Amino acid sequence: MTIRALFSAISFAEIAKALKLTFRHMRVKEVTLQYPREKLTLPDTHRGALGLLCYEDGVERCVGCDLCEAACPSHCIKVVSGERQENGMLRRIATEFYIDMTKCVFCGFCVEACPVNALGMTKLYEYSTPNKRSLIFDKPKLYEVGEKYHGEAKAYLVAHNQEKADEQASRYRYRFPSFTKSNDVPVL
Amino acid sequence: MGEPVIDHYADDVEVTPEKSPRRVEDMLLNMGPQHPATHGVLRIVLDLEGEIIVKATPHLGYLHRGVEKLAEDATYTQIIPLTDRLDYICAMTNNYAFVRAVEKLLQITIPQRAEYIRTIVSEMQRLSGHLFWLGTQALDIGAMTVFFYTFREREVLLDLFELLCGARLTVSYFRVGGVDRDMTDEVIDRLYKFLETFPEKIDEYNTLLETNRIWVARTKGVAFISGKDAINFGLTGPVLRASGVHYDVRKAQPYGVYDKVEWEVPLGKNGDTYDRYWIRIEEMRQSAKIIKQCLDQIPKGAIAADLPMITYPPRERVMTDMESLIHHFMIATRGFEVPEGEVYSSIEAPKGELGFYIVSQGGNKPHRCRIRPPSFINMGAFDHMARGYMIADIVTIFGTYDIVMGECDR
Repeated sequence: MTIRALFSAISFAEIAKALKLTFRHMRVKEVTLQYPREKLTLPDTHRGALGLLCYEDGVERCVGCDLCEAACPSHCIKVVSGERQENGMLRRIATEFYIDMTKCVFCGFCVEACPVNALGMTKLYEYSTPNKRSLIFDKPKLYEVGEKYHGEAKAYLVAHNQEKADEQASRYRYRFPSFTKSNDVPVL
Repeated sequence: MGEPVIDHYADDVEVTPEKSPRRVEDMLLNMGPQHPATHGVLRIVLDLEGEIIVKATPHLGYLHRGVEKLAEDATYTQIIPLTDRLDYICAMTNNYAFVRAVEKLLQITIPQRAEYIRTIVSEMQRLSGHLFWLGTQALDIGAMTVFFYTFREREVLLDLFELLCGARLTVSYFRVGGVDRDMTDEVIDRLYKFLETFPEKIDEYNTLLETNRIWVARTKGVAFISGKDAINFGLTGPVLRASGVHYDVRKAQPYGVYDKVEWEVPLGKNGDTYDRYWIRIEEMRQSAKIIKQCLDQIPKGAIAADLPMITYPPRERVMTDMESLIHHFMIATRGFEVPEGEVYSSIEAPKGELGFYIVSQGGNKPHRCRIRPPSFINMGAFDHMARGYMIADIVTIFGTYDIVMGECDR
C-alpha cells in the first residue's frame, strides 16, 4: 500500500468527496412532485382511458365496424353493431359498446384501427374504484368520457397523425353512403 | 430472510451422520419469492454451511404467464404488447427483437429514418436499463443516494418515451415495417439537452461509488466467473463482457445503424461485480455517444415501409381512398400473411442477447414463438457463481445479472 493510499484510507477522503456532492444537491431544484396536490402535465400523446367521440353536430362517429374488437390484443372490447333510422335514412351504429378497463393494456391499437376516428385516448388516469364492475365501461360511459375529455382525445388523435387540426378536420369526416333501406341503392 | 425449510426437491443434499459429539448439519434457507431484494418473484433455496453458501438452487416460474403460448393465438401485430411485458424495464428492445425477427421472415427492409429511430430508442432504453440496474444494485448493497440520482435521469428518459409514443414502460412503439410515430423536433431537442448534461451525471455516480470502501469491498471479487466458464454457461451481455470476452451482437452481427456510428465495446478483466459495474458505466457513455451521432445523422423521410399488405396505409388515404380503406380493414381484422419458414434473430438487449425464434406455417399467426431471454440463460450460472460466498453476498450475486423475472419466467 502506498503512502497516498494509506492516507486516503485513514482520512476517509472518498467519503468526504461523496458528502460534498450530496450536500451540493441541497441547493439543486427538486424534481419530485407531491402527487395529489401537484400533477404532471402530460403530453398530448399520453395513452390514458378510452372514450368514444361525436362529430361537432352531435352525431356519433362510431359505425360499429368491429375493427377495434379485432385489433385488440387483450380482447377487452365488445361491439354489437346495428342499424338506426336517422332523418329518414338508415345508419349503421354500435348499439352496444363495452370496454373492460381492467383488461385494457393501453396499447392504442384500437385507436389506430378505427377507420372513422371514433375512439380516442384521453389523459384520464384516475378512475380507481372499490366497485370493479364499474370499470367495464359501457356505451353511455364511453360517450360521457369522450364528451368530457373531447379536447384531449382530439389532441391525441392529432398527435398520433390520426386526424389533422380543426380547419382540415372536415376532410377526415367519413361520408358513408346513406341508405333508405338496407337493400336500396346508395344515395350519395 | 424467511424461515429455514426442508427442500424436498433437492436430492443431493448430504446429511452429515451424527458421529461427532458436536452435531454438524447443513442448513437450508428459503429466500423469496416475496423477498424485496429478489427483483421480482424469485425463490432461492440456499444450502448453507455456517455462513458459507454450499449450493444455491433457484426456483423459477413464479411470474410465468405463458407469453410463448399466448403468442401462438395472436396475430403478429398483437404480439408486440406481449413482448413489452417480458423485460418490462426495457420494453423497446423487446419490441425491436420481435419485430426484427418478423421482418427477417417477411424479407422486408424498412426506411432509413425508421432504422435510426429504432437505434436511438433502443440505446435510450439501454441507458434507462443500466441506470435502473445501477440504482437498485447500489440500493441492495446499501447506498441509497445513488438510487435517487439514477432514477432522476431515468425519469427524463421515460418522459421522453411518453412524449414519443404515449407510454412510459409498456411502450408498444415498434411496428412490423417501421415505428408507430415519428420522432418530433421536441423529442430531439430534449434528447440533445439530456445528452449534454448526462456525462456529468455519470461522473456523479462514480464519485459516490468508484472508490467508496463499502461498495468496493462488497463488489470486488464477488460473483466471479472466468471467461471460459461464462462462454460455457452461455452468458451474454455485460456479464460476459466483464469476463473479458469480446462478444456484442451489435458488433458481431450489426443491425439497425450500429455499423454507421463509431463506438467501442468496453471489456472487463476480472469478471467480478465491480467490473460489471464499470462495463455498464462505460456502456452508458458509449450509448450516449451512439445516440448523439444518430441524432446528427438522422435523415428525413418515411417512418414505415410502404407495403400495403403489411403496414397500415397513411390515414389521409384511408379517409379518401376506397382501396386504402380495404387494406386498412384487411390488416386490422386479419393481420398480414407471413410466408412459411423458420427464423432466429437476436439483438443486444441491455441484459444480453435477446433472441426470437419464430416458426411460421403460413397465415397470420406464428406456429411457435420461442424467446431466448438473457436473464433466464444467465440464471443458469447462478449456482456456479454463488458457491463459496457468504450469505450476505447473495443479494449482490443475483443483482449482478441485472435480472428481471418477467423475462426470466415469461
